[in-house]
Amino acid sequence: MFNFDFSQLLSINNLFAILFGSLFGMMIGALPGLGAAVGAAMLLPITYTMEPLPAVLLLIALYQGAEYGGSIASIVIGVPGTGGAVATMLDGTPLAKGGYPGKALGYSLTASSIGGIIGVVLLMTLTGPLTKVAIKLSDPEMLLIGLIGLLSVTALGSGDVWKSVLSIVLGLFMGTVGIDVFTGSKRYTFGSLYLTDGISLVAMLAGLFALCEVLSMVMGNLNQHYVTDTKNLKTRISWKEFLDVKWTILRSGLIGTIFGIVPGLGAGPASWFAYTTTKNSSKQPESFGKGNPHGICAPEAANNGCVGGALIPLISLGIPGSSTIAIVSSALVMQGINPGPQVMQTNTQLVYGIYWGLLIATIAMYFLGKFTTSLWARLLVCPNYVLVPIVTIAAFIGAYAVRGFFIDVWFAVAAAAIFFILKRIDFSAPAFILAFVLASLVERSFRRSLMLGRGSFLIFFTRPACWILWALLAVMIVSMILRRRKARSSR
Amino acid sequence: MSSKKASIATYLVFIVLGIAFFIMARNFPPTSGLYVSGPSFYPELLSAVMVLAGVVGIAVTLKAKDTTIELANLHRVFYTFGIIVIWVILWQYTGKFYLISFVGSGVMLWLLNGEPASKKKLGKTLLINCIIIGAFFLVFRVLLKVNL
Repeated sequence: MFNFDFSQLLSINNLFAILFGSLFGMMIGALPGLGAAVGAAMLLPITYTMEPLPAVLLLIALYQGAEYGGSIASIVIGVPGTGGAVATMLDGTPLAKGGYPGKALGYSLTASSIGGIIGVVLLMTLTGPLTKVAIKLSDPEMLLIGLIGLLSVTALGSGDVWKSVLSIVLGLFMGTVGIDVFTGSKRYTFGSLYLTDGISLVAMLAGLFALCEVLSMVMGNLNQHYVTDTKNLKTRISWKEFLDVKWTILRSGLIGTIFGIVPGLGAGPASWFAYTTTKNSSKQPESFGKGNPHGICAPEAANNGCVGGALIPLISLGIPGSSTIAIVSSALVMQGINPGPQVMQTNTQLVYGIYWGLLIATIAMYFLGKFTTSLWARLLVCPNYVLVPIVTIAAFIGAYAVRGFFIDVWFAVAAAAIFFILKRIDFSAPAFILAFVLASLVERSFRRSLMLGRGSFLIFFTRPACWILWALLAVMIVSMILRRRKARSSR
Repeated sequence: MSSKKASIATYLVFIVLGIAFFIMARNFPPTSGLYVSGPSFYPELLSAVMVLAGVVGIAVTLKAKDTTIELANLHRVFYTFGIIVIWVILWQYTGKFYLISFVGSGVMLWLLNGEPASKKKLGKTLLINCIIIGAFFLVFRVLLKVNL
C-alpha cells in the first residue's frame, strides 16, 4: 500500500472530488431528513463522466462528510440530520443550549475526524488479509458469505423478520430479470429489449433513496424554518478538553468500524452502542444527557468509523457494508470494475487510491468543518419544500443518464411508490437493495456450486471452510432468535 | 390505518406474486447440459421461499398486536406523486428535460409552499425555480455534458 503512486491521487480531479464530496456531504448531512445515501444517489450521475478513482472519492468523501454533518443539526437545533446522529443530540443539544454550541460542534468535529481515521487505518490493515483469504474461497463459500451478509441485515434490523426476508427475496428476484448467464435464456423480460440487461441498480437506488425520500418528506412540515442562533458556532476545543475525551474517541471509533464491517448495522446502531458503552463505563453516568462531552464524542467517532468499516467487506468480498456503500459499489460497476477479492489484484492502484483518498478526505473534513460548520448551520433556515424538486431532479438524472432509457426512470418512480408503502409497514429498503446488489453473486455461486457438486447439495457441507461459515450462520440465527425472544418477554 | 390489515394485505400480494413468478418460471426453456440447472431452477426456488415467507408472515401477524400507521398529509403525497408521473410522461414525449423540469419543479414549489397565493409567493417561486434549474443545467449540461 505504500508503493502507491501518490501523484495519481494528488491530481486536480481527485482533490476536487474530495473537496466537493466533503462539502456536499456536510451540507446534505446537516439538512434533517436527508443523509449520506440520498446525497450519494444525488451525486451518482456526476460520476458517470469521471475516472474511477475520483468517482469513488467523491462518494466516500460525501459519506464521511455527511456523517459529521448530521451532528450539526443535532447540536444546533436538536433535530438529528442523519440516523447516526440521533445519539449525539442527547448531549449535544444541552451543551449548545448551555451557551457552548461551538464547543459541542468542536467535540463532534474532532471525534468524527479521529473516528474516521480509525476506520481508514482498519480499512488499510484488514482488507489485505481478508482479501487473501477470500481469494482462496470457491463458489460454495462465496454463496455462504453472501447468505451471511443477507442474514445479518435480517437479523440485525429492528423490524419484522418475515418482512425483511420478503424484502431480501424481492431484491434477489429483481436480480433474476434479464438474460440467464448460464443458459442465455431470457427471464421475466416480458418481451422487452430494455430488460434483457436486467433492471438498472442505479434506477433502483434513485427510486428508493431519493424519490421515496421525496414522498416521505412531503408528509412532514414543509414550511418549517429551523430558527438557529448562529452565534458562538466557531468549532473549537482546547488541547486539555481533547485529552479528556481521547479514550472515548478511540474506543468509539473502533466500535464504529467493527459495526461498519457487518452489513446491515451501520451508523445508527454503532453510535447508540458507543454512547451506551461510554455512559456505562463512565464514573459520572448521571451527567450524560446534560451536555457531557463524552456523550457527543462517542456517537460521532462511531458513525464516522463506520465509513471505513463499511468499505472493508466491499473491497475484500464484494459485499457492501451499508446502503451508501452499495451506491459506491454501483459507481464502480458502471466504471467496469466489479468489487470483490479480484479487484485487489486487477486494480491495486485504485484500491490504494481509495485508502489514501479516504484518509485525505477525513483530514480535509476536519479543516473544512472548522471553516464551514457555521455556514451549514445557517443553511437550516432553508425550508424543506425547496429540497423536494432538487432531490426529484437529481433522481431523474441519476436514473436516466446511465443507459438513456426512460424505462429506468419509470422503474425508479415505481420503486419509490412501492417502497413508500412498504416502508410504512416496516419492510426494509436496505435489505432489499443489499439483496439486489448481491443477487448475481448469490445465484452464480449457488448454481456453479451445484455444477461443481454434480447436482448434489452435499458440496455445501463437505468443505472445511463451509463448516466455519455454517457455524457462523447458526450462531447468527440462534442469537437472532434469542434477541427477539428477549425483546418479546421485555414487552 | 391498521398495521395488521395492511401487513396481511401486503403478505397476500407477495404470495400472489410468488405464485405468478413460479408459473412464469415453469415456462422458461429447459436446459440440456448435464448438472447445469435450468433458468427456471433459481426463480422457482425464490418463488417458493416468497410464498412460504408470506404464509408464515400472515400467521405471525395474526398473533401480533395491532397498531395504527400514522399517515399525515397523504393528499400531498398523492399530488406530489401525480406531478412526478406527469413530469416523466411529458419529458418522455417532448424530450425537453430542462423545460419540463422548470414547469414540474415550479408546480411543486408552488403547491408545497404553504403560504397563501400572492405576487410575492409567485416571485419567490420563480426565483428559487430559476436558481434550481439553472444550477442543474450548469452542472449537467454545460460542465458534464450529460444528454438528457
